[in-house]
Amino acid sequence: MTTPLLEVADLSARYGAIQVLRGINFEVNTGEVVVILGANGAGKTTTLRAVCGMVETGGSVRLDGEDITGKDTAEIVRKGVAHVPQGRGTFPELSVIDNLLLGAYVRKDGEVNADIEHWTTVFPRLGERKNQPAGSLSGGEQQMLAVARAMMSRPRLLLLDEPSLGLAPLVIEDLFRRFADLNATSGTTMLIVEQNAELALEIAGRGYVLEAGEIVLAGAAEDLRTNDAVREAYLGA
Amino acid sequence: MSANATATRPAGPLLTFKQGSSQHRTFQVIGWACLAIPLLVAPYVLPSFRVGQLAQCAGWAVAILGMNMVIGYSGLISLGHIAFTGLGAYTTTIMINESSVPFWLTLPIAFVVCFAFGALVGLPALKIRGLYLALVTFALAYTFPILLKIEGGGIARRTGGENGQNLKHRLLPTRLTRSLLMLNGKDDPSKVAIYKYFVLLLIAAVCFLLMRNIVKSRAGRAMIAIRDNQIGAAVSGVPLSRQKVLTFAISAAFAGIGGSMLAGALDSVGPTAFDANYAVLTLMGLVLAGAATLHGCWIGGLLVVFLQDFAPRLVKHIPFVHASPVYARAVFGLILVLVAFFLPGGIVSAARRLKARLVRVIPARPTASRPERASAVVGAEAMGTTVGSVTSR
Amino acid sequence: MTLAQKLKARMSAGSAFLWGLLAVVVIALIPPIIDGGSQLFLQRVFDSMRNGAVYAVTAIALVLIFKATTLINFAQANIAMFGTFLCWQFTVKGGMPVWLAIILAMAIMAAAGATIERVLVRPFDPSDHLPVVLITFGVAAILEAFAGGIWGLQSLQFPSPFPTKPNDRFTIGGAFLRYETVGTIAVMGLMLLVIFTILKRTKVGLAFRAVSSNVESARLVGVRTGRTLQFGWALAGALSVLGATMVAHQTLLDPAFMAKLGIFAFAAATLGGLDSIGGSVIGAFVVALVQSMLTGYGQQIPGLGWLKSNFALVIAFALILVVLLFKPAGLFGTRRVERV
Repeated sequence: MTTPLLEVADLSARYGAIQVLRGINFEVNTGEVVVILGANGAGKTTTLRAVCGMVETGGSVRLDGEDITGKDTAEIVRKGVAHVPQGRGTFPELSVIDNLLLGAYVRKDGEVNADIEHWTTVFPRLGERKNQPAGSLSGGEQQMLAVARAMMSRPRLLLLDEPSLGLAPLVIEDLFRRFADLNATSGTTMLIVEQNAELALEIAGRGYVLEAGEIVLAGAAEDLRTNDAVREAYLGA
Repeated sequence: MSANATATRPAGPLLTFKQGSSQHRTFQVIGWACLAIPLLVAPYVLPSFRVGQLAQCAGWAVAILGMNMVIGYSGLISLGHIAFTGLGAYTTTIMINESSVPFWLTLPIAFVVCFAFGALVGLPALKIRGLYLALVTFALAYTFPILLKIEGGGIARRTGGENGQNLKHRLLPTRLTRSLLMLNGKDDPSKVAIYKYFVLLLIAAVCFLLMRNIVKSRAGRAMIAIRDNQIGAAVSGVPLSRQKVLTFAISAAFAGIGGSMLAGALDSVGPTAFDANYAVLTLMGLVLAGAATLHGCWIGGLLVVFLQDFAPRLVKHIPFVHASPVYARAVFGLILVLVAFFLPGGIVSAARRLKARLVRVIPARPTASRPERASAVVGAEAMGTTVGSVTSR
Repeated sequence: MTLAQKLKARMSAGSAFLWGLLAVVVIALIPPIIDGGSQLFLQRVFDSMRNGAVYAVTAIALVLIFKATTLINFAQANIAMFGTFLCWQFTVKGGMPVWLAIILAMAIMAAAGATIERVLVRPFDPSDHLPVVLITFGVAAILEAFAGGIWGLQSLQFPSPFPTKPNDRFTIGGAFLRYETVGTIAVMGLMLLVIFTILKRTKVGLAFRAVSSNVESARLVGVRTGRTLQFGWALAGALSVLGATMVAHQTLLDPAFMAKLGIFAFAAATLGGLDSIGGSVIGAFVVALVQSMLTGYGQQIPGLGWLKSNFALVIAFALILVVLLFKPAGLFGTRRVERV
């Protein structure tokens, strides 16, 4: 059994005096798409931020066996983790191209421009708006920019924080289809945290349910989709 | 290998009191006596020029009281309050010299003048962020001495320009006060110094009491609420704009009174007493003593006067180096840096922590919310108005 | 976006008012200008250009740090001052050629800036403003004390990097434009060029812009934000020294000489926009021009004759107040500068 790419054990996290995560365990294997479902305030965003060293953490986070708990965010990113934060996290004053170049900031190879070509083809709207400031793009376009930027670093692990937030339904469908494609073609491992369970579970292999800082359910995506409790809480069935 | 059977417990407090008990009260009285007795006795035993310095401390203490209101309690960094101190000082001087207004009457006048200018400065302050505000107010501190020297419009003539002005009518004791203060007999400067000291001490005490009541009032808690959580305060009904302008105005008024007191203490005013250097010095005094505390203000007053006095001498005595007095300013700079790193709460916070280790007071009842850490508990009804004028986003 | 659209997007009521005020001042000046003749006018313009370049250079350092960190370095002026004293030491006492001394001083103060950021600023949470104020004022005071202690308090003569004999000037339209002024402006232009090149075309410049734009996202792309900021502080340190050495010849060298200019630089940055490098340069020249015009022609404008001397500083300060009241972000700054 190979080491999971991401292995999180007894992870706890707090903002000052407020305990948000209470010792959760989960893992993501190479090539998988894993989803963490949860309502507002469950701690989904905090989970991703904890993995990236952006909050005070207890417990352990291992990337391909290496302990990265609480390390500096920039250092974790340099080890091959890309995080698309909630709200896209684009650089609004900088052009689309500059945003993409920043995605490749840690790379030292010569194929950066080829990658930019690639992603502006995969997301043609980005190509059209190459030199426009990122802040002038629509929500959906910014999301694509954020994903493209994350992919520019050729990450081993892609973390996506509520990618559907604030987007129109059609755009969300398109977005998730692309995620599935991405995983299929480039084999990038993905960890998606979402409120919108339906689409997320469709493209995922496995999932976890997070409630009030604790993992309450874990299993194959199929099983979660047919689980009554999950359906009631997150799929509006 | 067995573990230590009896781990040593940390030493408990030396003294324990039940709040409100007679021992507690005695302790408190002794505490205040330790403060009050030296204050009352000092002028009679110290040489006259030190008494004069203490009188100045009173003035600076009130000036810092004003600064503390913005920086400590409101979290607005104003480095320009020295200008209001100067404004108060010059107002007093000009009133005395040109219109023979008695000293005590110039105080409310200075209060009003500085209140008005403080409100004026508070208006642009609404629109700018933390450090930008610091920069703007510092520009005010920097510009003030220069404004005093403007030759046009007769300004320099009235202020005395570069050289400043002397007070034509100094603070002198009356027959009544002479007997009260045991100053009878031959008239000499030391008696005047003692008189001045007590006058200014009285004024300072009044100002401190006033400030204490302001801080404990709803307005005061609104101010602290804004400092701690601006959005929370706004949502709870605190009218941010009005409150901030009011804060600036009142703090400026207090700073101005401090200036008037300084004019009384020094019998003269000059532009160099209220310039950018003093802005930094008073800031240093405030933070070293302890911002956001009342005790910090009078300690700050002492620091401003006596550090200035001792720093040049201290610097000369550094072994091997024997630095010239010019390096005194480096001492102040060093203090600023060290305070930022090691003593952000100032001397007062260190003293409180020490006291907490030595003395424990068991509360008689659950304590009400402390004013220094008021969360946004100030409701709309407290301020009496709606959230009409929240700062624009 | 077309120019009209761009203007509409940027122009708010406050901004329009400022431009309007500027226009009023210009119009009020026209009669006295015509009265005084073109030569006098040109002379005043040229005089103002020298001041403008000086203010610009000081403002740039201020803006660089503010842009990246929303922090204000109150020690900037004194860092520049200390570097200038070092330069004096190297060239007047050490015999080094002026330009070499300047470069060496720039390098030293760049290192100083980097050290200050690393040791004194980084440990603190940037949203807590008071420590930064204390630290930078502390450093400023220490630098001033040491400058006074090492070199004494009397003013020193600083050799200019440019030819400065009385005849070293151009004559245009009867007015004199000194080589020094042109040289200062040229250096300032070069500085701007270097800055913009670094920002737009280098990796570290990209990182700097990223940190200015969104510091958290910058970390998420692997930018070492601490080091990037350190670079910004170092660059600001070097540039401010360069600017100060341009000026030092004209105003004598003493421990307070750069602090005096600080207000003008601040007025420039306020007018132009505290987070706009180009804006503050424009602001600098506008401030200088307005000062020159009002100081020169002011007596002839009804109502202003009474502000005889110390005009310059009063104007600068008045400008600051006016800008803050109507458009705190300045003419070219972004709304981020304003209180949220």
